[in-house]
Amino acid sequence: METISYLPVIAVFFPLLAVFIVPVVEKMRKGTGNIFTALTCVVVFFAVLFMYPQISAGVKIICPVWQTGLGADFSLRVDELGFLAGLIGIILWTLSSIYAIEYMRKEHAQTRYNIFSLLSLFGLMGTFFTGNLLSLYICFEVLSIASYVLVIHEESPEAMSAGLLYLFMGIAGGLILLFSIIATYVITGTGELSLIGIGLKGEPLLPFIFWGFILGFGVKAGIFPVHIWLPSAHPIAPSPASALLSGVMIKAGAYGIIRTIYSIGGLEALLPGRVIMVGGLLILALISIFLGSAVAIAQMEIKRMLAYSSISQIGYVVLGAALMSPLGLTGGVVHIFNHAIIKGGLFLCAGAFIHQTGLRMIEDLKGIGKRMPITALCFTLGALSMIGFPPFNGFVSKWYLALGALEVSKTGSYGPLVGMICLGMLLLSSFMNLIYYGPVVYGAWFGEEEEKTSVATPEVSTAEYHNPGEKVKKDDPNLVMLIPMILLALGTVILGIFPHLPLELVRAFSHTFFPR
Amino acid sequence: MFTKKKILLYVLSLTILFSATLLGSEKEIQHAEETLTQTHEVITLKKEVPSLLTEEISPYAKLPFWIILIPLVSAGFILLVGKNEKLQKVILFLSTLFILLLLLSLFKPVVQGIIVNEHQYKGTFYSLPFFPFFNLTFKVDPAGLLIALISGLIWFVGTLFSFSSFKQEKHFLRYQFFSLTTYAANLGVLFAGDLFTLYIFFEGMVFLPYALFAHRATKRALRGANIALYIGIISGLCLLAGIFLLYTFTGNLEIKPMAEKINTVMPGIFKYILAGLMIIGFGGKAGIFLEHLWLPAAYPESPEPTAALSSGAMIKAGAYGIFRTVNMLFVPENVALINEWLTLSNIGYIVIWIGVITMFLAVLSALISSNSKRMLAYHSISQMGFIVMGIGCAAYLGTEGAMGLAGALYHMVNHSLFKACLFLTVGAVYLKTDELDMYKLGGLWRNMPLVAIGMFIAVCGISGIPGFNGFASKCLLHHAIVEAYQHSLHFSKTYTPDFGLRIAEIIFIITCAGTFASNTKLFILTFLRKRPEKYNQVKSAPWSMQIPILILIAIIVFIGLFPNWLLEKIIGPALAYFNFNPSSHSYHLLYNIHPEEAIRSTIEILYHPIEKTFITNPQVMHNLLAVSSAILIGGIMYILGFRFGWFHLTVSQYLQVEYYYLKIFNGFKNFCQRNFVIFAKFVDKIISTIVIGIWNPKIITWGYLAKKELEYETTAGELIPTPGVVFKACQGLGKLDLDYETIVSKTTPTPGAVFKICRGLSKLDFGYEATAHNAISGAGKEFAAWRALSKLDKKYEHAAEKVLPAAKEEWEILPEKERRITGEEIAPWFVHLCRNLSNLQHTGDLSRYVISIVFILTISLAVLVGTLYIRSFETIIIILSIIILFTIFSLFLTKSRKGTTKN
Repeated sequence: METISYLPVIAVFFPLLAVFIVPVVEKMRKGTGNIFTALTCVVVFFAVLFMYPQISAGVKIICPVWQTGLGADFSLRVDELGFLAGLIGIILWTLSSIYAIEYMRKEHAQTRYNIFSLLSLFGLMGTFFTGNLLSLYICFEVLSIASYVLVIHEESPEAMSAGLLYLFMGIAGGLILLFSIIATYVITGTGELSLIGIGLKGEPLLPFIFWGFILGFGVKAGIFPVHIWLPSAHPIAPSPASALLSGVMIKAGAYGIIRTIYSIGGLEALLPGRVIMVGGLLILALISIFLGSAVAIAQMEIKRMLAYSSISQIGYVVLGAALMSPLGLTGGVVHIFNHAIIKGGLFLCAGAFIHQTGLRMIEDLKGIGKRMPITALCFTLGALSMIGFPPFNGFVSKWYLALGALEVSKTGSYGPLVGMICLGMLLLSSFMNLIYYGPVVYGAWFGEEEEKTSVATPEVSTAEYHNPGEKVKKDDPNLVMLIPMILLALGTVILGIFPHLPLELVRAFSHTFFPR
Repeated sequence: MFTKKKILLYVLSLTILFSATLLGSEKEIQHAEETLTQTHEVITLKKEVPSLLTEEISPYAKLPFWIILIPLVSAGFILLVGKNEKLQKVILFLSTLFILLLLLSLFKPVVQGIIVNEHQYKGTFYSLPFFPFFNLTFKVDPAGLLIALISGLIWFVGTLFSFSSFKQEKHFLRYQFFSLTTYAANLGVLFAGDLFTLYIFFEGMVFLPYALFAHRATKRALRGANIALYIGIISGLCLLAGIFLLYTFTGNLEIKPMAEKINTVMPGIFKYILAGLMIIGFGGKAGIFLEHLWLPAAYPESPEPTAALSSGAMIKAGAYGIFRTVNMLFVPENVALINEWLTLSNIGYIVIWIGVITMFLAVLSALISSNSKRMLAYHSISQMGFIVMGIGCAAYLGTEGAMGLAGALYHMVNHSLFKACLFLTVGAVYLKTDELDMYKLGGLWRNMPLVAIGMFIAVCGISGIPGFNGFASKCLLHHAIVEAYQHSLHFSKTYTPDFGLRIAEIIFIITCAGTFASNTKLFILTFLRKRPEKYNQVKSAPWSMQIPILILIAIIVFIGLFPNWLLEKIIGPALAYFNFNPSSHSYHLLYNIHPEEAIRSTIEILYHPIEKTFITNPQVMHNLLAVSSAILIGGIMYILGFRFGWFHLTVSQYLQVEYYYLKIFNGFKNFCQRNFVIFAKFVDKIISTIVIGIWNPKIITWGYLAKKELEYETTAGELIPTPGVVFKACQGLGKLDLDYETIVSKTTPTPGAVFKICRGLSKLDFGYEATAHNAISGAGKEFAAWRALSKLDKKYEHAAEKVLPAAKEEWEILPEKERRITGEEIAPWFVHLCRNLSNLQHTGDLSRYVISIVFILTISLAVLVGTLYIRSFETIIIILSIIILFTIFSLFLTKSRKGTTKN
């Protein structure tokens, strides 16, 4: 069932409109640009939220925008997956913009940041809400290029070189994606994403087209061989932007991969050649999961560690999609939602540490729980959720992914051994999450009373140190920064106990591909 | 010193005592055989499990859920109260007492049963639609309630004890908050109706007690807490894997007998893997062999009540899980199925040996440890071994295993009581003397007589002295292992009993002896002997510490004097929920009547419960003989141990599990840090070479240099244990960021030397080289590697130039190809593009950037349009055209910018 509504148009094009208003607002009165950006996000948020009644009733929202006369129109179409991804995207964007009001107050080039943040928002919402490949590609490229400016915001040599790599990878990925899109249009004459399998079954070029899509989207998602831009680009951006990059922008790639497997390729077409197509993707996902966690263990800088963790977590999403089983798909899509909340919150907390104390290294964050208790608490909740403790939302994803992994032998997509390996990898990754999140968390709360035996600071006046009467100065940031962090931290708990909102929609979504 | 005669005497007495033990147990075996032949008739009775009380029938059904909520709510309250410590204490006292009373009020509906509408209901069931994919279900049966009750008692006394013990600690609020939340998780595990609910609460018991163990935040406390956390997580993941397997294959997670289903869907070795995963999962908390490390590591440095709470209550949850798995999940519902019973026997046999090995090795470790809390931690492990062995016996004997399960349940209760009492008394002594090493204490009974009495009674309890509680449960467990030995002939082809189980039984006796020796040592060293002078002024413990101890010793003595009371009241009804044959030998020995009726225990532990005869009873005599032989061996162990200094033996590190665990863990971490970081870098280089090389072939030279750099990294990685860290350090030094010095000094084993090297390197001061050579052997290589590394990056060189002008010359004389080509040399146009993009504050630049985006999109669209209309285009040509256009576009941008950026 489909209905025409203008809500997606507001959600997609309102940020584009706001791009032109932000400089004017900022010029009229200094400092209002940030607030205006946040307000724009709120408007978009409500536009997305008002779609919920229709989406939850199983109705898809469509809206043709612009007849290009190219054989493919620029049209919008919102289904459960797009709605969920768009919803979490705009939630995180709104919170990050609110956070940025305070965080970016003393930064240079705020207007530039706001403009490109809104432009990226346009690209992101467009990616999630479009109905065909042509419009998807346009929005996807806008997202790639606009977010480059967010990465290089600091303009330091490191930022420039990280941005360089990001831009190169983004463009190269985009071109490969373009190849696949063109090939799809040429072969089938359509690029509608509402279809279940676009009609590429039996096509000899299918593996090339499939891998083109996967590489194109995979660059953005940061899966294994093309993840290389991610660990340098995500930490170098300002923290609100890092939260967006790691929280939602890589999800645009994951979204594309899910669309590729289920809408464009279709299970029917992909199952016969699964070894060279989806099976390969599964292996890449497993490598991503392990590599991300393994390298994160070696990191000493908190934001870099979080970035590597993102590689590992996006591996979960791709794994869920590549399992080709209903529960696996459910787990993967739910993890898009959950990981955005967790990682967004963690990056905002890390940003708060840096903003308030200037400390970036994990080693230096010992005892931060005394100085910034609320921030450290939010970080702790996020980390526990990441490890997958019940009842945090990370556990919900883990539960579905693991059951999906064991389900593959039932659905016939892979053998039972593959399922066991995936299960083992998921559990191992959980443990590795503990290895690298653990030191931050227990260092924050219990680390400060350790006796200091460093050479550089040989005598920290011990008498002063053990003086119990001394009051610890509280360094928590002000409410503008705290509220987004607290909301996200609460979100990890609430969505762990009541994961109904994402789960019901995701089930409806996975039923379209796995009818009972 | 030791004459030959003396030694001969010792050896002789040992031999005599050993033979006495053998004789004693031999007699008991004969006795058991006689009874076995008399009463053993195979009658398969299908027991009717009474229907469960549900929400609709009575509000009692919801009570377990509310009981779990109370600690959470009061934890919230004490957070709200904030600084008012008195009010917090009142809340804590009232809530723990209230929970204990509520647990007692569950006794009627769960154990005795209540009659609603002329129908009897026993046990409660409540399902809470909580998670959309699973309901939280709470089911209480007498076994769960028994352990919950004892946990409630331990928590009550532990909290009471903490009020005064926390005068010497900080962060009262934090401790109590986590104590209460752990309490809730613990109750949740015991009341869980299915494995999903159980897992949720079990994970809570993994990470919440972290704060209790790490409370003092010293290095050793953190280490202990970390070990507990890591073992908890690994075992939790094993449990989760088991749950996933069970759920996927059987589609059910309810804890009920389903051996048939497991056997059909998971044939062969898979069901054993499943059982193994579950046992390992729960064993982490129970502290079975190979997973026991965290107890001795975490207890000594934790606050005083923590060990009592953990040993008294928390580790029981692990044993409870094992017994739910082994004695319920793997039990066939249909009693007639032989194959399923055989599977269960196999699992049971393994579990028996896990228990026996755990108890024996732990008691050996306890004998040689001098830290009293560490010693008690080892005893906790050892006693858990007894419990696990009982569970194993119950599984091994199948329908005949009532004795094993009764013993295990009974011992769980008793162990909670005397171990909590021991930890509290040791804690009271520690708080007054600040000394945990028992060899340095002595003669304290004069200072704290009540504490001394408490410890004496607890020591009697743990040693199994008749008249104290440990005696009863150890007798039952001994019966169980003897029965297992007897029964083993049914499993052998030659119809001979398994000699291994005979050995297990002897180990059991020796372990009892070791327990006696070790605990007597603790008591005598602490409270008797001559008092060291510095302890003359030690004051008695306050009443808030003594009352908990008094409560515990009262119960210990009561159970000791009336051993059949607990068996009648709650263990008997508990056994009715399991698939034991009511007419089996064990059941007869325990109860001698049908369990459906009012349960009357008839086993003669200390006296004949009905005839009230004491000495003339042969069964009682056998029990006393067994325990007296154990005590005699224990006494001799004690004397010999002191004479020959056996209590001061140290174990080689190669015999300690910890050594291997650390090796594996560090190996894994190093593998991740070293190999995978290098691998990731390698991938980085390759992909970036490919991607960027498309744009400029000159860049391919990077590949060579990348390889070179990688080699150096590998060299350095082999030389230093934590290469990742040192690399970071070097990079930091390249930036001349001296903050890194701190990091290096913290992470490497010889910080001074390494730090010197690094500093020398960063300042290009080669005077340091000599220092480094002197400081560590092999430093030359290391130094060379690092220097080489630093030369490969021009960035470092620039930094060095600032410090030492001469460095520039050094750079110049390097071979041309070894110089790193920086981005500027490779792609000048791109650097300018970046600069353009980064200076976008000016409106002119912004417009240019917007134009560039529009340009790219137009090109892409144009190509799309082209292909859509003229469908014969070759896609490769399209891509090439885009690349060319884009390159031209970028060059155009660069050129326009060049004029302005130069100056």
